[in-house]
Amino acid sequence: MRRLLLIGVMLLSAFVARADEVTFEALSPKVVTRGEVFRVEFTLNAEPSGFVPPSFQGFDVLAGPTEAKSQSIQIINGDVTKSLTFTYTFVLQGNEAGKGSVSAAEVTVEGQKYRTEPFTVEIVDEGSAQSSRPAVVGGGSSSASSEATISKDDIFVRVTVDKSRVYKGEPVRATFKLYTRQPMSGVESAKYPSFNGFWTQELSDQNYQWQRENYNNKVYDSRIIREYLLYPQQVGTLQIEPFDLTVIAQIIIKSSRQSVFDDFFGAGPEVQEVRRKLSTSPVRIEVMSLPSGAPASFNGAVGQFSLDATAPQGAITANSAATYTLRISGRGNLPLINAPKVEFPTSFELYNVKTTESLKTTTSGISGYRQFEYPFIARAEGRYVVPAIEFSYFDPRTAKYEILSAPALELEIARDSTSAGQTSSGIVSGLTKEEIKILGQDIRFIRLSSPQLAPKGRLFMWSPLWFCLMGLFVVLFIVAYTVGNRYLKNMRNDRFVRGRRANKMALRRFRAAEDYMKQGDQHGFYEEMLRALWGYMSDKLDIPVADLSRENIREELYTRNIPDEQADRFIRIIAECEQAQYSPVASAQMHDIYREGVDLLSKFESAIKR
Amino acid sequence: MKRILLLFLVIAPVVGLRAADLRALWDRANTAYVNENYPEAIACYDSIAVTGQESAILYYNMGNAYFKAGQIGKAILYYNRAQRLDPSDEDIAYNLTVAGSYAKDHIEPIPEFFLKRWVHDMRSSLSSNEWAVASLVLFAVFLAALLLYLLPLQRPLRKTGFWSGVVALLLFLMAAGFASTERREAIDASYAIVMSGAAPVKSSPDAASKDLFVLHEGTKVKLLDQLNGWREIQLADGKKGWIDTSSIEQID
Repeated sequence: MRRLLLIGVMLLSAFVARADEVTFEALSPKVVTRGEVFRVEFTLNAEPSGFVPPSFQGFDVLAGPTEAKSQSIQIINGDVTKSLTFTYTFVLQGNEAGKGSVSAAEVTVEGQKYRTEPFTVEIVDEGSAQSSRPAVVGGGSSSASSEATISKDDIFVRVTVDKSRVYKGEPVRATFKLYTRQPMSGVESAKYPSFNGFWTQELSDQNYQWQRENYNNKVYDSRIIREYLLYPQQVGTLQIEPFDLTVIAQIIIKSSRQSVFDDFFGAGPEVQEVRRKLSTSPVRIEVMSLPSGAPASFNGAVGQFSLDATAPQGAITANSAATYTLRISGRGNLPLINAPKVEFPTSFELYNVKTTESLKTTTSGISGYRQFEYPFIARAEGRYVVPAIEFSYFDPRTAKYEILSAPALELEIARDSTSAGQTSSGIVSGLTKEEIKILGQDIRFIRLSSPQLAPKGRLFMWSPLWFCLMGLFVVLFIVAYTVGNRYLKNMRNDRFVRGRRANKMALRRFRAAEDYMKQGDQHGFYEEMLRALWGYMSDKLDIPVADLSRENIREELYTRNIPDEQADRFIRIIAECEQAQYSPVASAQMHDIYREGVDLLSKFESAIKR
Repeated sequence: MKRILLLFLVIAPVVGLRAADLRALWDRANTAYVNENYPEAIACYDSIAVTGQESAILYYNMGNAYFKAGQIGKAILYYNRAQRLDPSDEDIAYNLTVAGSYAKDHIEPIPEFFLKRWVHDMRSSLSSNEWAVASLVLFAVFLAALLLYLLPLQRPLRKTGFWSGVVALLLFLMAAGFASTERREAIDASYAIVMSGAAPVKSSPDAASKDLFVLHEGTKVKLLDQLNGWREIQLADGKKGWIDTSSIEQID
């Protein structure tokens, strides 16, 4: 079943292919002179099964239709190509000046009907001009005297432009055409103009054919030599300079020495070749400047265009390449259009814009597209916006500027997963030696101990607790001050009393000592003297008697600005008293010691003011 | 009032998460880190952080996890947060240096006046809380010295009290100043880290304005001014410009 289907499809396709190939065309000169006999051919590249001849208006059918069939078979590497040409030929003659028309001819090929386009043929009355060329070719009656004379009208070149007033950048089609009424053997040394002020594009060679054409009521054989599209690049009047062409024309002359032999051997009329230099007249083209008010994005594009933007496909990750494509298509001076400026984010790495074009040069201008690819590499992830792109052109048809825009492009660049972590550093610039050393090392390990969490943003400083503690300290201070102050005041009073008492106590003890001295009780005297001296010092210096020693008495006295000499004397008296207290030797010094003690204490009393 | 309300809102879910739960999360995060499952570690640390609890150790571990996961910007952000809370920690400083070496921008800071640097070094030797405690202690010392001076004691004692009071007062002012400066830095987010891979810095708070320069992930910037969605920033080398708020994250 499947196989059957396949075969069916193949057959069908073969049929379709064949059917596609069928062409049915009419071939005819476009211009004829009155009375000229000419041929109209209908060619078909298939075997016809029926032919309906066309109707001719304004012509006499002299002969036809005549069928002719030609077939060729080509075998190349075993591939057989068969080509078949079927031709119906009519021989016609136009009798009235004006237009004759040929209606559609119809042919049937394998049940399918094909028709030609109806066409018209112009019949020109050349009036009294010499007889038509076939007559010339036929060797007519003109004598040798007319040799080598070719009138200016017989052969010339002409340049035509489709527009003579254009905007700057709008294409002008310039056609260089050769017209002749003489047979020609060839063309020599063509010198094309330099087209100053234009950007030129030669139209692709279309295998120009000789055509019959009516020019100034004369029928010429004409042929396009070359066609250009000219894009004016300057404003003002531009001139297409003359185009020079040298042709070799053939002039048929009848030999004066013509003999029977000549005729017999077919020498016929002689042909003389004449070189002729032809030149076109200059053509002026007025180039208008583009109107003012061009958009900021205008960059000289003239024509009709459309703009397509193609965003990069799929997800883009950082560090991978992507392409943003803009395509400008349409008709106009496409090759002169530069890549529109695209404002990519600054962190993108940009590369050269790749331009591809597919252009077709036709007679009406260049059409096709010009595509700009903007390759880029996003180095970092994130959301980016490529702003809208504006492209403007001038439309010469409406004489207005048109603005095209591609919408802003939002790009989501994903994080580069392949180079995460250590390798993500990529190019690290400006590293010092020390830093490179650090790169080689790893970070220190995490802490596994308790996280010691605390509520966020709660800091001790200026916190209520801090202020409370400060206040507490102040309160403590005030309390300590008041308590301490009172205590110290009391103590000072105490001490003051004692200090004042000291003298009294000492005096009382001195008196007692004096009594002992009178009684002669040596032991009692010294004991009382010592008690008076120590007691005085204790009270005066506010040091308990038990803590008193000679050293700290000396120090204390020193700090109270008592002269050293007096302190020494005091220490000496104490030492003498202690020594004498238990000494069996009676001493007569009791009186001296007593006096000295009293004297010293009175000095201290005046010195130590508390 | 609003703040208290906010605090409540933040704390409300925390009440649900008891200390034991936090501890379990903490252990899970650390285990994930040890097992090199960094995304999970980050997720667990994050769920601790969203409870409103913080500590230098938590941020330090988060920074480590982000670093290992290859997110240098986040790592630097969390090391900075950790350093905020504990400026004297050596590990934080070390890891911050390592992570910083992976950041693309190397900005040469303007050399500071040596005295300023000393003061800064001294300030960052203790955290805000530690300085606050120090300030309290010094205040107590000052009051004691004042007491010594004010009470009717002997002249040398009072003299000692006076001078030590002056010294203690100066030290107290210094400690309180440091504590409050660090507190302000910790609460007011005056610094931020660039988070997006490449962020253009504009001459004005407007997307259409001119690009001055481009910053890359992990760069620390000082925040100055703000205007609908844009922040004015200053780099360590003194350059200024405006950056899109979405491409930076504040250290707070």
